[in-house]
Amino acid sequence: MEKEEFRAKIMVHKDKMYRFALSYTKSSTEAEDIVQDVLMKLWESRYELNEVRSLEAWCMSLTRNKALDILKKASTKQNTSMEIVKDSKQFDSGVESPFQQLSQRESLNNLMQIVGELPEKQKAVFLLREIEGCSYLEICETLNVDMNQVKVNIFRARQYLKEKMYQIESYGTQ
Amino acid sequence: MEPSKLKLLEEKYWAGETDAQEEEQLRHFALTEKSGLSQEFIALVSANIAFARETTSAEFDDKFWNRVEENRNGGMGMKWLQFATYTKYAAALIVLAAIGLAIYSIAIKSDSGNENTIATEEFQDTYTDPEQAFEETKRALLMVSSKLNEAEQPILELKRFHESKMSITGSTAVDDNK
Repeated sequence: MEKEEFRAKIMVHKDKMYRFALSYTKSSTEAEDIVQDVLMKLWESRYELNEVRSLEAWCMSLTRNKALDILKKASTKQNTSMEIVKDSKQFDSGVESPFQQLSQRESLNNLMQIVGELPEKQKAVFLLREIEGCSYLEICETLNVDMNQVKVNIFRARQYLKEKMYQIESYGTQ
Repeated sequence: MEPSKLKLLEEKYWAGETDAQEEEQLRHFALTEKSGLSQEFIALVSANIAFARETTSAEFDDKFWNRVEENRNGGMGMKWLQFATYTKYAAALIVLAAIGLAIYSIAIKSDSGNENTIATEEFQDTYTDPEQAFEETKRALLMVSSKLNEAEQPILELKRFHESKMSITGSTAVDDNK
C-alpha cells in the first residue's frame, strides 16, 4: 500500500478516529496525537494491511486501544469536558444562528460529560453507533465482542443517557 | 409521521430495538418537526450532530506526512543505531570465539604432547624378544661406556697435574712455615 492508497483507504477514517479518541481523552490535542500515532503505526505496517478484513474497524480498534493506554498512563483526567469547548473548532455552519450554535455546544458538553460517566464498553458502543453510524456487526468487529454484548451495552447506555438528559432538560442539571 | 408513532419509535430507540433506518428517521424528525419527540431525545440528537462535526485540524495531514518523512530520514539513523547495537554483540561473539579457539588449540597441543610421550615409550618398549632387548641394552651401555673411557686419559693427566701442583705448593708451604 503506497501513499495514495493509504490516503484513500486509511486517512479517510481519521475524523472518526479523532472523535473516538476525543471521547476518551476530552482533549483535542491529545486526541490528534493519538490518531497521529495510530496512523503512523498503520503506515509502518501498510504492506500487511491488505490482509485486514475491515480497515475501518481495525483503525477504530487501534484508536481505542491507544486511547485506553494513554488514559491508563495519565491516570485518567477527570471532569475535563469543558476542555472540548475550549479546544473545539467553531461550528462552521452558516445556517444556524448563534443561539442554536450555543445550544448545540451546551448539548455537546452535556453529552460528553454523560458519555464520560459511562463504563468503557457502553461508551465505545454508544459512540460507534450514534456518532459514527456503525452497524452492530461493525461494532462487534471493532470491539471484538459478540452481538448480544453490543445490544446489551447499547441498551444500557441509552437508558443512562435518557435519564441524564431528562434531568438536564427538566432541571438544568444532572 | 404521526406524533404517536414517533413517540413509539422513540421508545423503541431508548430500548435499543431500532434499526439503522429507523434511527435515521428519528434523527430527521428531531431536526425538523420535533413534535412527538421528547426534549431529551432532541437534545441528544443535537449533541450527537455537534459531536459528529468535530474533525481533525486543517494541518493534521501535513503534520502526519511530515512525520512520515522525518521517520524515513531518521530511518537510516535508526538502522545505523541497530547496526551499532548488533556490532556490539558481534564483537562479543568474536572475542568468545577467539577464546574458545585458543583453549581448543591449547588442548590439542597438550594432547599431541601426550601422544609423543606415549609414542616414545612405545618405541622403547618395542622389543618383545628378551634376548634382543638384552643385546640392544648392552650395545647402548657399551656406547655410553666407550664415551666414558674416552675421558679417562685426560682425567688421569689432570690428576697427575694436580698431584704435581699439590706437591710443589705443599713444599712451598713447608718452606714458608720454616
